[in-house]
Amino acid sequence: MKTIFKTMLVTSLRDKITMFYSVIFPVALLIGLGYYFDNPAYTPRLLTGVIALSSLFWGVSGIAFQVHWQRSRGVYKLLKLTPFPTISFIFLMTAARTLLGILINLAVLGTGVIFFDMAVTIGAVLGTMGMMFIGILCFTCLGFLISNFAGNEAQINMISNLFFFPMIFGADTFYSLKSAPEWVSTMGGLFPFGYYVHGIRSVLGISSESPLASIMVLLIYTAVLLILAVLTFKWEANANGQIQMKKAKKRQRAVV
Amino acid sequence: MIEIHEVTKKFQDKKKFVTALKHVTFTVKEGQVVGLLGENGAGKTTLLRTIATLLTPTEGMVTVAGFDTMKNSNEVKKRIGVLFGGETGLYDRLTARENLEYFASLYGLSKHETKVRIDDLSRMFGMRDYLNRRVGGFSKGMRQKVAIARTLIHNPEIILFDEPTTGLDITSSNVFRQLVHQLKREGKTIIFSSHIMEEVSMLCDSVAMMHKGELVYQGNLESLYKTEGSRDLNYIFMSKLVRGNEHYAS
Ligand SMILES: Nc1ncnc2c1ncn2[C@@H]1O[C@H](COP(=O)(O)OP(=O)(O)OP(=O)(O)O)[C@@H](O)[C@H]1O
Ligand SMILES: [Mg+2]
Repeated sequence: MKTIFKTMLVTSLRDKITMFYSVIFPVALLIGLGYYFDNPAYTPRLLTGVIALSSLFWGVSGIAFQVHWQRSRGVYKLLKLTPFPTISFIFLMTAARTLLGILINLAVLGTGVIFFDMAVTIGAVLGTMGMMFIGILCFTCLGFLISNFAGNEAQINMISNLFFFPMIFGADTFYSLKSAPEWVSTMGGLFPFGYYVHGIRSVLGISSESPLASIMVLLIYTAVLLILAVLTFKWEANANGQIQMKKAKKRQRAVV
Repeated sequence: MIEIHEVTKKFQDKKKFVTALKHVTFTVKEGQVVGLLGENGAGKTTLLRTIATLLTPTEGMVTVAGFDTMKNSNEVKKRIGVLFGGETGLYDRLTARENLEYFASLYGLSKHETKVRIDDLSRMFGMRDYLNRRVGGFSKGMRQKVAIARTLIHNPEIILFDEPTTGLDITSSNVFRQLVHQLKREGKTIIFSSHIMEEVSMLCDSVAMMHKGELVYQGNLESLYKTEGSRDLNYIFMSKLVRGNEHYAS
């Protein structure tokens, strides 16, 4: 159990591309934009937006690529050959990734605190960790779901972007939506991302709204996405192999 | 011992039924090395996957060491090692050792057992030089060795290989062949599918030939040579297939 958990942590940490999008990119964005705007009133919004982006990339793209990779390499099929229960495997993988995601987000938060002298209490940090937990879990379920529908890496990117754009631009992540047409925020409201942004803001004391509503909505999304992910889960990526097999058979017949 | 009893496997492929195995019955005794032959689509992989508990037979049953593959699948899994050709299932980002440790823990091996086993296997395969390097940078042959070591990590009594040498060069294929000899000496039971007749005639005591889901021959290789009056397995295989097709035509 310990070795398996450790393996999950190590494989995730050695994934350079996801690490870039989840750590380097958000931190650089935060520092760059923070100094560019140089506006203490804007920095908190920037920080929460960047944390939320980091969670989103880590949760959705990170897991989608990992699951796709594992499936196409026959990891799940091999797993079924061992007495180890697959449910435990998926649970451990999700747990390891959520734990790492929280640590990564805390690093982003730490960057904000150090570079922009933001004051956060221990209570706020703990609350944020709780919020991150729920958010990353929710995005991870979405990542799982996407990987079930995508046949290859390009499709993962395509489907993820289909979600990312309305999520990021449909919420007041980096700027207020007051002057935007109403349908933009209506569209954003259909996705979990905006609720996460608001939740993070409220637990960090940046906004005065209660985080309860966000937590409730995120939990509902998590449950629904989890159920969909489980229902559509595929053990093997054998759809292509199947077609090849048939072609091979036809060729063989022609020869005999 | 593996007992395959009247196994039929049907797949539903977009409303069309494909019968991949038709009333297949045979027994593999302990310590036997069996070569599984057949054209593409004959049902070899399906049969191996059924033995490995990955597929449920539509009819019939399979027992491994007395355990039903469906009712006691965990007992079967502990006793079987499986390698599907072309799919190593290794993590590129882990070292060879980390990969093996990971699989050992999936099989529930203790830390000590794992260490001993990895030492033994890396000596056996001459992998000690690259045991602590990441698999991502390995050649095909090196990967294959790690994959085979992974298959044997829990010291299974029964080993199934599905086209183990497909895509390997001569050196790596030879490593595999030597390994089968060694495993045979250790008294392991092995079934492997192959399209390479010389490999089969070199390594196996007996063969099972499949044609369109049916078992057309199963038995000792020597007695097959005798009854067919030839030692050319390729020729025997082709003539059996032709006879099989005639049987279908009539
Ligand atoms: N999951 C599946 N769904 C539907 N049909 C399948 C499935 N797996 C195998 N089949 C069909 O069953 C038949 C036997 O396939 P199998 O893979 O066992 O052949 P094989 O002897 O291993 O062939 P090859 O030499 O090409 O590996 C084929 O007609 C194949 O299309
Ligand atoms: Mg096959």
